Amino acid sequence: MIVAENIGMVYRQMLKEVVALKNVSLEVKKGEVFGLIGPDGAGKSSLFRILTTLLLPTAGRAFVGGHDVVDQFREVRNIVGYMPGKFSLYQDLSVEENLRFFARVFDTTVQANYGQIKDIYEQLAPFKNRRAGALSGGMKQKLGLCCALIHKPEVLFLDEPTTGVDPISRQEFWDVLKRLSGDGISVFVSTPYMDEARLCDRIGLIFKGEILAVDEPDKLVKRHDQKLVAFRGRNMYTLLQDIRQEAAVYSCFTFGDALHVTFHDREYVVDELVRRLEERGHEGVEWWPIEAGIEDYFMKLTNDRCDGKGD
Amino acid sequence: MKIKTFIDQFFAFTQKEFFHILRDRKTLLVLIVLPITQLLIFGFALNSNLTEMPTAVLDLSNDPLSRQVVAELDASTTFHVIGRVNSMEEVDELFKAGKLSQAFVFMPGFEKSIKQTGTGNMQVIMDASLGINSSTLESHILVILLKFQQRMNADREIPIQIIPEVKMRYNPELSSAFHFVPGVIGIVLMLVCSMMASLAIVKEKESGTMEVLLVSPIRPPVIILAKLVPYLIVGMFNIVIILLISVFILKVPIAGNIILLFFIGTIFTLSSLALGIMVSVLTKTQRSAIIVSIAGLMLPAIVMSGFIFPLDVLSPAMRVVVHCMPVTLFISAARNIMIKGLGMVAVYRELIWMAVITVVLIVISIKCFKNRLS
Repeated sequence: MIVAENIGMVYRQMLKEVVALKNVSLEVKKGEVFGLIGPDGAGKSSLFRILTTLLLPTAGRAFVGGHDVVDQFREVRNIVGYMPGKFSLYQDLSVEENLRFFARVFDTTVQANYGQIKDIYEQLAPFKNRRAGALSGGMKQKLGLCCALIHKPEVLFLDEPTTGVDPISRQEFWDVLKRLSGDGISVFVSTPYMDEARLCDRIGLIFKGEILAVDEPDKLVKRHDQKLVAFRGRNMYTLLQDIRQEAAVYSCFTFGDALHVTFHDREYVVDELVRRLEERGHEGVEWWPIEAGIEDYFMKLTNDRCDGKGD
Repeated sequence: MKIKTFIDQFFAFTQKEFFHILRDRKTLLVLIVLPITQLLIFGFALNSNLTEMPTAVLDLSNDPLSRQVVAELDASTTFHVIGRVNSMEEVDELFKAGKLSQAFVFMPGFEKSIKQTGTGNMQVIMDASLGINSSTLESHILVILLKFQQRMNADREIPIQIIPEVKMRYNPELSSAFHFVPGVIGIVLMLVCSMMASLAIVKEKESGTMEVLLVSPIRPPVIILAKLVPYLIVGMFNIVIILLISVFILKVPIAGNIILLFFIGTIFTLSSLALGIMVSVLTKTQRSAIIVSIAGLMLPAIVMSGFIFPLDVLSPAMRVVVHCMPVTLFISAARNIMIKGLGMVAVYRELIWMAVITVVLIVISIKCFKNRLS
């Protein structure tokens, strides 16, 4: 449903050029939930805007539902639902009025497509006369999704739909996306939360405008082939600094309340590192081996690119 | 089928715009109160200085009583007799030269009539361009005459009465309050309409809703026309209020056809809205839209539309330019209808031009409407 071929995007600001996307190629199949995972400023929103015909790419081509996003942008606009990263509905219109407006803009009615949005709209129904601007963050996103779905799009573009949303609402949101993909709708979603990556059928890791890897989440994780260990100590900050000093260590990053450490040598004996750390005065150093997560793999890829121990 | 879709989208969009306007109470209040206060301030600010008004006297009776009445009026601070004339033609000439605010005329046999019947008529010919001030002057005359009568009646058996008949004379130079009101109407309407329209589209760009609208089948002409409709209705409401204030508070009689005036006002409103919409399409932020509409639209409109300075002072090339501004055309047409009482024949050129400019501006707005971001 979505094909991107060597997309490049360069913004010209005054005299300097800012590269937002480099050689981005990917494919999203019908009924698939595709997650675009990457930190802020990675180029996620630029890619969304190119695929939704809002920006012209400076290089490459892209097709949505078989239509070229540049030459056939009107056809594309008829078949996609788009929810921008920033809340973009009319704050002074009520929930119901927003929904009705977008239904009519797409030449349909709320009744005709109620089945599509029923699950989500039922939660919004008690607030249907409330102004959209007065809704909570999670409710706003649900309304945004309803408005993007009201015309039965073939492809749904959701730019960071769960950012700033509470955990329960996030879970509900992903349940809805799963159901939609079951109905044959392709979902292209971005998120900065690595834990949501596992909920996608396939994910693309994006960093500094480049796609680093595309695969199913489980397969991506298996590509992580380095020895991976978690560390914890009394003084986490100096522990991080000292571990990074070690020649045997490939990378060391903070993950929640622990440090994730990888080594150049798969066979490296971790007790050796612990002994050296205790010599330096660290107390209560604990360690345990862990399975790599998507974030670990993402950090490895970005570290490979930067080729060093920097953060 | 396609047309039906467009029409439905248009109504959905228009309804949405009405919601925006009606729910933003403060802005709505500004849109309605602003023109009223401006019209009142400008309308009253001019020519409120009513002392030593230049007056001519045509005394065809020339008897002691008429001379006494004239002396009485001249003695007040309101009137100043600049001279006595011998014929109506001379009065007219002085009016044409703009030297008079009013003239007192006594027909032959003024004293005789009072002695025989107790009542005598005097005519007061006033420059109609005094506007609201003409009625003030009239009451001044009545008060002065009343005091005079009381004094005279004190030692008389039969009370006497002097009845002033006020007649309006139009000053062809048109250089005061009356002349000013159509200008104020034009400027005030333009201010409100172009300002509010200049925010209409750029507001959606800033809030991000434009991003969602663009990724939908709705077309630029539908968006632009639907944005115009609610503002046009607010504008028409303003015209009605402004005309009511002009007639009942500023006392500017509308000499010509009021329907024609309203119609021209509506076309002018539409052209101002189109101008604002164009600004809105071409700018990226509400702030720059406001700056452009004040500096780029309002200043030239105030300075060069004939509102303050007559158009004659402009160079011929500049005169052509200012005649492409709808506000210039409106002020000239409104003066023709309101003051000179002229009809369609006198204003159809302005009307056609305004309509043409409006269409051109709307077409430019649609063509320049960006189908994508940046």
